[in-house]
Amino acid sequence: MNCTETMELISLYIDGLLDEHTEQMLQKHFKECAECRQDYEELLNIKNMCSELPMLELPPDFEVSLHEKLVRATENVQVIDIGRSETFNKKFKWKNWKVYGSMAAVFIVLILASSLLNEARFNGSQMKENVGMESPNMEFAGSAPAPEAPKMKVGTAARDESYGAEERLQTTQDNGSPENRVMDQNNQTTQFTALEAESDRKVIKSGYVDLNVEEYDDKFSQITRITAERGGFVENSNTYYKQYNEVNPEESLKQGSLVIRVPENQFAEVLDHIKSLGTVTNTSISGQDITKEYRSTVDEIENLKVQEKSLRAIMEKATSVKDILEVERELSRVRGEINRMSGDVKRWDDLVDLSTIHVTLNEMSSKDKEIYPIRDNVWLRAQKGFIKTVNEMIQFAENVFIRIASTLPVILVLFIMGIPLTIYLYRWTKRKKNKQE
Amino acid sequence: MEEFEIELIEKSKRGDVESFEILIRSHQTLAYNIAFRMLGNVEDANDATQEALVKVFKSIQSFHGQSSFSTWLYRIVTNTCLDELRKRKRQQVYSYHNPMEMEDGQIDRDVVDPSSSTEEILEKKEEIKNIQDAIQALPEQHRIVIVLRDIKGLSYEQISEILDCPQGTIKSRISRARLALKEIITNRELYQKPYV
Repeated sequence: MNCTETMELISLYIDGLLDEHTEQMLQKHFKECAECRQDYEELLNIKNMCSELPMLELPPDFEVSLHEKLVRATENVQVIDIGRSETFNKKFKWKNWKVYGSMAAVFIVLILASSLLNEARFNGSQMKENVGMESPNMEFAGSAPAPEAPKMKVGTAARDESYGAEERLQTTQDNGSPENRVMDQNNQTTQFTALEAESDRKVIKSGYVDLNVEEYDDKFSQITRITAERGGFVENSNTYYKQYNEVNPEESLKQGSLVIRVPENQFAEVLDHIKSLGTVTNTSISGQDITKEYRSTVDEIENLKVQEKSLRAIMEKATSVKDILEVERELSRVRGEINRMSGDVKRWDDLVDLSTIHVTLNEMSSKDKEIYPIRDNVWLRAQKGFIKTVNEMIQFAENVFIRIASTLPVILVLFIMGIPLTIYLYRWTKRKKNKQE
Repeated sequence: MEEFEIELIEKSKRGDVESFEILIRSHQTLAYNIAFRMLGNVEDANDATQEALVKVFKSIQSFHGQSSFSTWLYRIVTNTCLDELRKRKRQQVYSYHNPMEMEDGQIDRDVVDPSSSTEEILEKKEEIKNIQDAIQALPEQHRIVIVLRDIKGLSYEQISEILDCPQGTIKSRISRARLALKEIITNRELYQKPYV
């Protein structure tokens, strides 16, 4: 038995846990080896000293404070396995810390991202609008003729019906009017024109045409020319670029609208002519029959005129100032009514005489007609596009930088406020936890 | 396990504080002393013992008699002490009993009291103090087995249950711990002789 083995066994020997044989071997070694014997004696001595160490008495307030803690523990929610749940809590808190941290980071990123996206979206929506204008028109182009036919039919049928009704009305009206004519000689001329108008139906016609055209400017001038030839006029027009091509301004597509007025009898012809200028994507005709209102207004005017005449007669007879004033007032009211109504009649006449046509022109590039030769400025355009993209990227980076820089004070303030707060909270929870334990 | 003890445990499980106090009365002094030897001072020992006993009370539901109640209790006490020591290590609390770790070994922080060594009667006290300090200087895994085995005289079996280790491990650990303790004491004597 050598010394190393002995050292391993001394401890067990002291505790008397070795079997008889090993014990004898050890004792034999101790006799031979003074060093090991000394070690053994020292160890035994230390062991004895250890076991002689005095037992301490419990502190006097031990049981009292323990009792307090135990009572408090019963008041707390019964936690079944405190040891496990505590380690769990610790882990949980640590995890929470991470979770809160990442949440804060995500929040900041979201703020930045959303503000950046807002800008991007603003640019994007403009582009989208341009695209959106083009696509529905393309869709319509194919299916345009179908809705046109039935609409026209419905329109004419409705008109025929109203025509019949008007003729009946007209006859009843004619019965009353001869008396008026006899009564007033002065207004005979106006009445005559009114009567002339009465023989016709008062219909305000308006047409709507949406056209896809190829050469916008040419078509536009054609329409104005036709209008002028037919004795009409352009009431208003509006032209704008739908898609502005920076490289080739002459290739930019235009869009525009016109409101033209043509004599009622030329209406159908002009409309057909305009339709032939391009692809019709949408068309409609509407006729507003105002014959009834027109007639009743004209009658009203007649009646008011009769009333006016009789008022004048009364005026001549009137002697007292009071009467004169009263009649005067009534007279002016009647005159006002007449003026207002004849204004209406005039406006109607105008609307009926000159029909309105709303034209919308939408320029389309004719890409399917011929194969374009490759334009010589492809390289230039590519270069421009490249520069544009680079500029956009720089701008984006700038925006990111500006956004971060501008939110930096907020983040700093949050940090400055947050760090002591978290330290305080951390300590507080720790203290609380210690107390609980 | 005695009937009486089982009954008290059952009552404690139902939250009866008085029964629990009777149950731990015979163990709390030993628990306190284990904690004292482990932690080295009275205040920490008091806190740790109370903490451990509250823990015992709270978690008594999970005690199903796998081991004896005392073993289970001491296990919680020792674990609490080990936790406390670990916490201390993290917070770097320096104790005068702990030697300061230096690059070239340990330097004893102990303040030598010159008045104690002169009188004969004090020699015994000095010895006790020495051995206490030496125990405090042991690494915690060694300290615990010395405390349980040599100071409190628990059997190997009990220790292995308390520390949740196989007996073989405990045997070698006790052996190593004793040698380490001897080493510390002899080194100390060497260092301190010139002063005395």
